[in-house]
Amino acid sequence: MNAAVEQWRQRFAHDPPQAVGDLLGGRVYLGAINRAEPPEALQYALADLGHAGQQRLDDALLAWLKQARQADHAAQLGYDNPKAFARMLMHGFHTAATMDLPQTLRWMEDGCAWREWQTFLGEYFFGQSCDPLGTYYTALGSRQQDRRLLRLWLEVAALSRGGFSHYGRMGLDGLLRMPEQDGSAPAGRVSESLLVGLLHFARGLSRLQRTSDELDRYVAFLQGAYPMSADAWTRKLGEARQRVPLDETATQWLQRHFPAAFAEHETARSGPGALRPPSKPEWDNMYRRLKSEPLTTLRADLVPFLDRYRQYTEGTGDSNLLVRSFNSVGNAILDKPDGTDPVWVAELAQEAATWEPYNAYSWPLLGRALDDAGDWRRAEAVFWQARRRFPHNVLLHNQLGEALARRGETGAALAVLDEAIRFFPDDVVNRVSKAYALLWAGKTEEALATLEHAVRLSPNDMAAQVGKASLLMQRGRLDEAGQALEQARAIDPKSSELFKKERDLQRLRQGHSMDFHLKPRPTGRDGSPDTLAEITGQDISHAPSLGRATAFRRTGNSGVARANLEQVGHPIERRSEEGLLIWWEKGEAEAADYFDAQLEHHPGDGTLRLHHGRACQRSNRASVDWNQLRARFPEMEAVILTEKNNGKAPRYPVPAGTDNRTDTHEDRKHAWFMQTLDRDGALLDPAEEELIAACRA
Amino acid sequence: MPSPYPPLNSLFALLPGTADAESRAQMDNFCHDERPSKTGQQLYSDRIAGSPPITTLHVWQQRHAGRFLERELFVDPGDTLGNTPWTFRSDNENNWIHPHVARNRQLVRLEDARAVARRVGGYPVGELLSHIEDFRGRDAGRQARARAWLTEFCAAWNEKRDLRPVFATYLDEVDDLLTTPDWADQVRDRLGMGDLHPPAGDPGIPVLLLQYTVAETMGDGADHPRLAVPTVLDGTLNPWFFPTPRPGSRAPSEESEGGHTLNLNTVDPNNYRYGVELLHPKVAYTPDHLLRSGWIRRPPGLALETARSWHLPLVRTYMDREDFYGSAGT
Repeated sequence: MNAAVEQWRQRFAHDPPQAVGDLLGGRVYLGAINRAEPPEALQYALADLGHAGQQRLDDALLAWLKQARQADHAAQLGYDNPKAFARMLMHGFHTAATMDLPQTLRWMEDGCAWREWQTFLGEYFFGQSCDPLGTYYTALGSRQQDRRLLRLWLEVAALSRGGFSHYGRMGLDGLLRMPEQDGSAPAGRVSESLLVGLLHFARGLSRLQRTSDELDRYVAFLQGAYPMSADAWTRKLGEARQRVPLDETATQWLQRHFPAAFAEHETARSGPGALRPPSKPEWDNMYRRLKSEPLTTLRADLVPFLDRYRQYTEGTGDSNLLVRSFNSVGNAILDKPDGTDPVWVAELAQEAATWEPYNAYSWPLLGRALDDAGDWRRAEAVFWQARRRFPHNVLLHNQLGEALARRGETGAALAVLDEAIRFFPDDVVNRVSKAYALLWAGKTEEALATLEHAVRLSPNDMAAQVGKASLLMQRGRLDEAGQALEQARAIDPKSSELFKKERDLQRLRQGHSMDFHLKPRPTGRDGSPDTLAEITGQDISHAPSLGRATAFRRTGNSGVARANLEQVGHPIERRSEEGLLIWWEKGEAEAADYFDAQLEHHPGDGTLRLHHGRACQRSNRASVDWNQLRARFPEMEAVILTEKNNGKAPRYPVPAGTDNRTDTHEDRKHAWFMQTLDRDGALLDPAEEELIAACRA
Repeated sequence: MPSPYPPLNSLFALLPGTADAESRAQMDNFCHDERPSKTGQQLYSDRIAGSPPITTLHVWQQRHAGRFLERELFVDPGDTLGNTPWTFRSDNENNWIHPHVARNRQLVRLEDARAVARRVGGYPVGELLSHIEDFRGRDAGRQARARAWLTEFCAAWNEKRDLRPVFATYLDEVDDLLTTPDWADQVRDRLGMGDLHPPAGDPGIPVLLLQYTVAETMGDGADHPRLAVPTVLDGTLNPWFFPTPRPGSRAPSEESEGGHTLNLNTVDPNNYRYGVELLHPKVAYTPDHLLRSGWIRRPPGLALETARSWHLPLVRTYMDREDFYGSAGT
């Protein structure tokens, strides 16, 4: 052993995490083996310590990676060059896999850990060859003992977060190397979940308007390395097709490789042994029972029924039915008048969101269940974060505004709802919620005026008519309330809400009194938002303060915005919002300077980089290389192209409808962005900010 | 020991006498490599300067890797300095090899397969080696499957490589070794790659031998090869590197074909011959470039100090530069 390695060994004995970190970061001179990469250098340096040395390395690497994960930025760890920081992380991930360090690998495989690294690294660009996130994926892929990473691989293969196309291949490689059963070896053949992943990949590329090059290459690889008969391909792909809805482009691409499986006349089919979820009649029957039977008697049947969705999803990788059924079940339970279980519903919603965190379906249910359970701290964080992640989803704006209003936070509620009205002017639901927020704050006349305006805008809207009637009843204007209900009856005579209000009106006319006060919301079960990291990828404790800071800034209340901003612990989110506040207060030139200074600390950060580019462009401060930014931050392509085209959004296909399974939330987000700018060019800045924020949320 | 790099002088003043052979070799390389241009020396000094001053090898290593290599050599497309690593910038022109090198001349490169497999995607090394074996075998079916696998592998590998200069040698410099069963150990030794040193009890280091032509290093649109003699500024701190002097007036012209490596394969200093190394730009690998795989199972044939002490006199004589290296090593 050479003198330099001996010296490092002494440091390792004294402070193992620091010694390992220094070696990974290229901060140790290792004499004769100085050229060796850290995994080999460590192997050499610890060779004579055997298992004990490996165990100590495992402890040290784990401690060091946790420390690195908590770092605000590279400089905090003593790196003045982000590429060196990235390389050090890559060496760390490689070392865990190469030296087969069980403790570190288990931690890396944990759903919270990989989600957090995804969030932490996903926004950075360190250089084409410096891809710590890709390294993380490949390190995980090489050492799989069980099927716990199925969700990760499917998500990566589907390009759910947008980004680089080659990540899709990493997801497919992960699926290829996943054991067929826990504890077994990788199958060494094309598995069902790999084909589901392949179809997701095709769909992801098509959705992101990329070329089919990566797909073509991977298909050629599969066909060459794992040869099967044409009939076997057709049968296996037939099963996968049932599970992944494909758009026309993706279908055409796949048809080129597998003409029989994707021929127009070929209907999707299943082999005899294929895993199946509960059938439609089974679902219908259970849903009917959910509506009619008390939860106490139903639970014994419901639990194993839901387990069948879990088994199906874990076996096939098709999570769509699980997400939909868990959400429907959860909402039905919360709606039960005869006793509910919001804590269980929150668990179901969280499980569904864990499978599809970039699908907005489960978030409203999760927030609602936590709110009903009295866990306002987590509920509020979920509401704000969901609103940020899915800016195109009107329901999430509305749910947040209404929840804030119900908790007595009228100022924030109105800021949220007023903005929602600007983003979705034709959607009356936000005006109705605003009216209720005003009503609950005691501003009855303003509330009534808001509702009357809503009714004028949309006379056939049931919620507006019923809301107006309710307000009039509260003001004692029973005849006018009756007229409003008549109009509501003309819209939908079978509405249960209408029936309830008619009954209330009758009771008032009979001289009964009614309590119109807002009922207090449950409290006392606050949990910590960091328990949601598996779906959020980060501790979202900062989400409410950040959301308020943004909302109040946009309403012109910079004092309240700044007070909230000071509560935001997340360094980059705080700096981004601070820059936008400076933009609002002092103009874009000052903001450009501010972002420029912040990029010293976070040179590879996409959010700061993009805001910097926007501010420079607006102030003519410096020319911006939008093409380079587009290559580095493909997930922010919509904003980049819009800036490049002087405020004209790129043309995105408009989704066919909320039930169309080939449309994703990513599609809807882009369509919303395009339509918002088409309708009102003055919304360019807030809409761009929303899209940028959604990439990090 | 003065060096052309002022930030290193405080370290070089402290260490001699106390330093081990490897550290001394490291310092000697930077003191005696006369090939980097003034601009290169200035650039390097600027990059590694700073507070605290460099007084340990660890700090030097950190500055060399983090500030110089990452910024000037290990560049990626789109990096601020225009995609060109230091080696191929015009300020290093005096180390470029004559452009008349035959385009069809074969080059080979030895790669540590563990690092390659890991970087590409956590592929088990065994899988990579067996696919190369199948690819070079006679079974057409296995060959076709291996080609599909290796094509995907090479594409992913190319994607993950930056634009750093690539060390290689001419095939005719090592072809006499390739027929031996321990060719990997012998090539490692001939090229002075002493860092490829399997620890005691280890099964060995799997390696890949890549082969391609000079023409393939040229890339699209280039009208002549870009090959260079390596200097201390072209890679990591490495005591196994030995600087190649500029030739004296009576030196043979072949020196223009590359730099000289330590030869760890020598048993008799009177029969010492050095290896040849050169640098070329990134080549996009394909399965056809994967000539063979093998294992390095022995430690280097010579200790560092011995190898350097045998190398220097030969270089002085061969390059007609008795003054090279001053009194060091004599």
